[in-house]
Order: sequence, then structure tokens, then C-alpha cells
Amino acid sequence: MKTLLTKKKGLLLGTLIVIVLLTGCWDQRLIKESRLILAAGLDVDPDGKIIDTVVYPVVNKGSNAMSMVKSVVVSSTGVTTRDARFNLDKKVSQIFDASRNRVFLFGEKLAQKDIYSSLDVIYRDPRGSVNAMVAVVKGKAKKSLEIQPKDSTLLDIYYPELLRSTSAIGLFEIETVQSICTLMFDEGNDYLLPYLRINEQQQRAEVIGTAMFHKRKMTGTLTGKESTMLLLLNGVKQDYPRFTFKINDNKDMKERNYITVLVNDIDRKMKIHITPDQKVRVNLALKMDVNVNELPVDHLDSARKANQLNKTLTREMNALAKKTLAKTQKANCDELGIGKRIRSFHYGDWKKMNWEKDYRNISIEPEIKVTIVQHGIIN
Amino acid sequence: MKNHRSNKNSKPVTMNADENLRGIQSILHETSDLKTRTITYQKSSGVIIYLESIVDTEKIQQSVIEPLNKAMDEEGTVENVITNTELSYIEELHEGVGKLLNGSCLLSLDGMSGMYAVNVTNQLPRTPEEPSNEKVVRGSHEGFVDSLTQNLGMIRKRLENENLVIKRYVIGKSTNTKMAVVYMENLVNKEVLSEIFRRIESISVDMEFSPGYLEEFLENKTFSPFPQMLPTERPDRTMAHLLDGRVTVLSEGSATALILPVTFLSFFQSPDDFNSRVLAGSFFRLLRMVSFLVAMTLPAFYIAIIGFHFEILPNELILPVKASLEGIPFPPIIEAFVMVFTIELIREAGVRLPTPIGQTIGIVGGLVIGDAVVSAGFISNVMVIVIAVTAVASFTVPTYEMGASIRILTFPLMIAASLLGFLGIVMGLMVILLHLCKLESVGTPYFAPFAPMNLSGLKDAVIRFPLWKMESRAKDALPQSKRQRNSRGWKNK
Repeated sequence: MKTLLTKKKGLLLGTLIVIVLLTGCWDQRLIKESRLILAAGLDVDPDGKIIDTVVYPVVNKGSNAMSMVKSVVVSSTGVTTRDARFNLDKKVSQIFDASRNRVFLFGEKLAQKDIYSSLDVIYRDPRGSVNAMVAVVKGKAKKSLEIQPKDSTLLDIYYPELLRSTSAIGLFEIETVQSICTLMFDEGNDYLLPYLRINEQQQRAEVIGTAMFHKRKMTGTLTGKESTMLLLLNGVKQDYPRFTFKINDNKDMKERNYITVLVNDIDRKMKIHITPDQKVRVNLALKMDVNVNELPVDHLDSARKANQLNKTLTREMNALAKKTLAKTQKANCDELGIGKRIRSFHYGDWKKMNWEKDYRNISIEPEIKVTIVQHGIIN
Repeated sequence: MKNHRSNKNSKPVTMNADENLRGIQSILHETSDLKTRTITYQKSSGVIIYLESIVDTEKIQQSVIEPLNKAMDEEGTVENVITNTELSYIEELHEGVGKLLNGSCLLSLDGMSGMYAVNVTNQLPRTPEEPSNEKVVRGSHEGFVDSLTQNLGMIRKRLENENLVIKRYVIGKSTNTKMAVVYMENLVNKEVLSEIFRRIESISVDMEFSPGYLEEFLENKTFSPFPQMLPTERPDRTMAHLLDGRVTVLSEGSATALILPVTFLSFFQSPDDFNSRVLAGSFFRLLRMVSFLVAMTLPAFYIAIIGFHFEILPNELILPVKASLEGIPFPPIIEAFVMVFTIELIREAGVRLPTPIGQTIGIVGGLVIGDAVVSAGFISNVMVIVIAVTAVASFTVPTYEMGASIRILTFPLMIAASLLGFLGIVMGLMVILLHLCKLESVGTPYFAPFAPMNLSGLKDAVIRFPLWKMESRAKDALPQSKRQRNSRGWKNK
């Protein structure tokens, strides 16, 4: 009886071990057998088909453990993003793995149509690279992945670094696949994405401003200066937002006509006034403390001079802000989230409004006040 | 001492010295190192019998023959004459033989109904050296030696206390190895102590070879990877554990003392912790805990990452890792096994070989194999780094036994990781944790103070609190009394 029991137990144990061991490498996906996509570009061709371009690193192992890593670019078309990826898989050895993708570059044409449809596949994948950065390329995204910048041999390092450094000088906030997801569906709150231009002569990409989005579509662009202004109006101060303004006309040497300031500290207050008949007036009070970075014309050692400059800067800034806000309204891009505020705090009014149309017609009044607080170590 | 020999065929000592000698010779099967010397005392002739190999002839000369010669013609019993401290009167031949084997010499005189046994053991004192596998930076550099008496002396020297009790046992039907159980009468838990006595008394074997034997005779779970007794060669460590209410078992011919019951954490404590400052001591202890985790899980973790979850690698790491793995012919688990196996080979070879050759092997094995295997493209260099870190980490555990256990545990975890990734590691660690929580060391919880959870016990667990914060005794050995000390009385004034 006892031996029977141990036999049974042994059999059970054996079966368990075999079951566990035989599952073996069921879910295994070895890193060395995967093609790691580290940057991807999406375009739309005239027929409406998606062109998927990906960059992956290839390691050429040398004799003495030194290995050279090279970026390889390959692209393919398909009716959907995933279809295009499947077609790519047919061309490339090993299995594609997009879980480490760092950058999504959208061609301008595709961005103007719809970006959600292309990102949908990532939101559904548990291993989807939701923290990849998103940017829009003027022209074709495919081109942006074919350049060979001298900064880095690997495009998948070049683009994230480029975007990060540009974000630090205050052009935009870095948006990832995850962060734009909510904004795409959020009523009354829109977003900006970095807007790149490819310089084929220099083999470089250049951030020329931002692309304004409304819901899932790109609806316009802002220049670098406007982008910085809009970000500040939104109460976001990055590390080094800078402005250069013309303050004179009369100097012989052109450089002496300009001033460059670095925004040191900001204080923004937004006030929304709604009349009973749903006329919206937004008051944007923005106080700016700036450092003078460059002012070839003067040492700036008197308070009178500084006050004069404060006035000039305030005037210039206000003009820029007005221009910027007009542009956003034209593009229907509510980056400041005014609609969301109305929805939160004036829901009764919100229900009577049609933000899709009304946003263009509201009046936004920027009230910027610039104070120079530092002028460098010159005395 | 307990008389272990069966007295079935014991013969009484006769009045005739020659007859006694013949009797002893026959019991000892005419062994060659049995020497005799004839002597005359108060006109009766006699014989001194001893085993040349274990006695000190100088002692016989000084404490037996010389006094007897001096008192040749005087009145007085042998007891009065012989100056040795240990003298006993024997009436049975077998008892005499027992004494002989113990290092005594027997004095048999014609016309006396018994024999005298005089202890003339040859003490070959080994100077107490620092134990090579339990070195400390500061503090005591004394270690146990192979002599039981000397070891007990070292403990007594450190613990001048009337409550220190030594109980002697003899184990091994053939070897008759002397053993001593040492404890503090006022601290030790009586139940634990009687359980230890019960277990020791139940041992019936031919040979007690080493502390390893004793450990297996006494422990609950032999197949557990974790040692349930703490072997140490340090008298200061032994003393500290005795004062925590634990029991120490020593045996003749071995420099290792076994401390029981112990907890898992005592294997990670070193006297150095208390010789260095609180912050440094805590840091080192924390380092050891981390190294325990690293040694156990790092290879498994790495295998799981490159085989299942490489998306968790940071962006900057993924390319170097991928580059190093490109073109490696083996799956990660084989790669890891090859490297771990190689390291274990080098370690084992290094232990067995004399020091100079051991070092050579270390260099040849470590550098040459490590470097060559990477440049040949068999093993990825990240794997070499991982295994090397693991190996170094496993040697930071102050107790060699625990280090070995950890190295054994890496294997199942590696296999689990290669089958199921992180899920496998979690399952493996869970099994280990369950086992640790269930394990007992002579009836006391092994994984205290974590299971059962005891907050005040944690003061001396993962980090070391200042001594004046630990005024009460550790509870895991279930001591009789809690320590009430006030080590910084000047603070209270």
C-alpha cells in the first residue's frame, strides 16, 4: 500500500516537473533574436496607404569583442500601420520588436489627417512603447530617418537627444505616445508637438517650431518664438526659454539693434469672464522676470535705462503673445485648456456652448509685464 | 564522565602487578605503543603502564617516578606521594584501559587490590590563531584550537560567570570523541536545552568525525539548503551567542564550535559590525544583505531580462546589452551555467591547492578564461560581469556555509527564470521564503525576527542599532530573562 502511494506521488511529481519543463521557452523572446525598432516614421502616400519606416540597430561583431553598431533603415507600405509593419517583417530577418521604440515621427500629410489611427496599435499592446516621443516632420517622415547626422551615428539616439535639448530651451513640452492619448480625447484641451524640418544638405533635422493639434489632427504650425511664448502663456517655464527682440533701428551694426533675454521666472494668472450670453473673455496676466543675456548697445548700469527696456520688452512681448494666440484660435488649438476650465468651473455655460466653433471667437487678452532682474556680471 | 563501555566481561584488578599488565596487554591486543617501566615502592615491586603515543614522559618522570623514588622508604600512601593533580583509584581492568586511552598512566603495585591512574596527557598546545575564514579587521584575533580543554578555557576566560555550565558527553562507539555542551544556566531556555540533550544522548554512532557529523545528527531538516546551526571558530562570537541564551557544542579535535539554536540573520552578523562605528557597521551589514539577494537572484534576473522582458532595460543599456549578446551560440541559461560552473571549479581548485598554486589558478581561471571566453565569442561579456558580481557577492557572507547555500540556490532560480521569466523568479523566491518561514532551529523560529515579526528584534537584524538602543535580549532563542541593561547611565543623570 505504501509503495503504491509513493509510486503515485512519484508519478505526480514527475508529471509536474515534465509539464513545467516542457513549457520551456514558450514565452521566451530573446533579445538577441529580436530586431529592436528604436525609431519609427509614418507617412501616408497619395493613395492613402501607410508608409512605415523603421530604424533598427545592427551589430557587426569584430574579432576582439569590439562591435560596431549601425542604424539600418527599412520601409514598407500597407493599408494600416500594422499591415505595413507586417509587410516589413517579410523583408527583414528576425522578429521586429517595437517595445523599445523611442521616437515616432509623423509625416506632415499623415498628421493632418489623423494620428490616433496610427498609434492605436501601441495602446492595445501590453508591451507597446508608450513612452516614445512624438514629433511631426515637415515633408516626409521617411526622409527624416534617412539622414545621417554627424552628432550620432544612431538616429535613435539623435532624435531623442535633439528633442530633449530643444525642449530645454523652451520650445515645447515633450509629449509621448502616452501623454497625448488623453489629450486627443479631452474636450477643450489640445496639444503641441515638435515640428521638424529636414536639412538634407547638412544631413540634419532642425526643430522649426511646433505643430498645433486639435483632437487627432494637426491644424497649424507655430514658429519657435511663438511656441516659446505660448508655453509661457500656459504657465510652463522650461529650463532656458529665450527671446531676441529688436529694440533699435538706427545702429550701423545690425547686431547692436537687438536684445536677448532669458526668462528667469514667471507668474501666470488666467481669469475667465463669461457674460450671461456666453461671451467669453479670458484675461492672461503674465509677469516675467528676465535676465539680459546679450545687449551689445549698452552696459545697462542705470535703472532708468532698465525701466525703458522693460517697457520696450513688455510691448514686444504683448505683440508676440497676441499674434500667437490669434494663430492658435485660427487653428482651433486650445493649448491653454481654456475650454477645459470652462467645462470644469462653468459647466452650465459650457453646455450651451459649442467649443468647436466658439473657441475661435472668444477674446483672449494677454497682459504681460516684463521686469529685468539681472544683467549678467557686467557692471 | 559517563561510562560508556559495557562492563560485561570486565575483570577486577588483581594483587599481582604482572598479571594486571598481562591482562591489559591482552585487552589492548599487544599494541606496540604500550610501554611499561618497573618500579619498586616501599619494597613492593610494581609497574607503570602507559601508551607512549599520547602521554608526556616528562610528566611521568616528574609527577610519578621522582616522588615515588623520593618517598621510597618513608611511610605514606601513594595518594600522598604523587604530586599530579588528577589521580584516581581503579579496581577494574577495563576502566584502567579507558584511562590509558585517555592519556593516563597506570601504576600497579604488587599486593594492592587496585591501580592508580595518573593523568599525564601529552598536551600539544596549538597557539590560538585567527580563524582564516572568519577574519575581522578589529577586535579579538583569537580562534579556537583543536583541543577541547583549551577551547573551553578560552570560553571560561571570556565569561567569568558562575552560571556558565559545561556538560561533557562522549560520542562515537569507536572514536570515543569527547564533546562539551556549553550554556548559561540562567539564560538558556530549558526546553531548548533538554531537547538538545535528548538529541545528543540519542546519538549512537561509531564515529564522530567533524562538526558536520554532529550538525547532521542534531538538525531537523538535512535537505534544507540553509544551515540550521552556526559553526564558528571565534571565542568572542561564541561568548556573545551564549549570552543571548544559546547553546554551544564543542568537540575534541575540532576548532569549530556549533551554536544552536540560531536564526537566519545570525549568519550575516560579524563581530566587526560591533567593532566599527554604528553607521559603518550598519552599512556593512546592509551591504551583506544586499549581497545575499544579489548572489541569489542576479543571474536569474539577468536571464529573465534577456530572455523575456528586455523592455525593462533603460534606453542607454539596451544597445550595449544587445551588442554583447549578438552571435553568442548558447541560450542564456546554458551561458550562465557554463560560467557559474567555471567559477565553482576555480573556487574548488583554489580551496584544495596550496596558497601559491591557488593564486595562480585564480589568475589563470579568472582572467584568462574570463577574457578568452568573451573574445572567442562563447559567452557574452555582460554575462561574465553578472556571474563575477554574483560570485564576489556570495563570498561576502561572513559564514562560509551560508555562502555555499546561496550559491546552490542560484541554480533553481536560474532554471525558473529561463522557463517563466520574472514569474519564475517570483515563484522560486516564494518557495524559498515559505521554506525559511517554516524552518526551525531546535524548536525556535529560524527566520526571526521577520517571521514571526518582532519589531524590537529588527534593531539588530538588517541594520545595527547603537548598543544602547538594544537594551533587551534577542527573543529568537527564547531566553529565560530579558536583559535589563543601562549601558549609558551617564545620559540619564
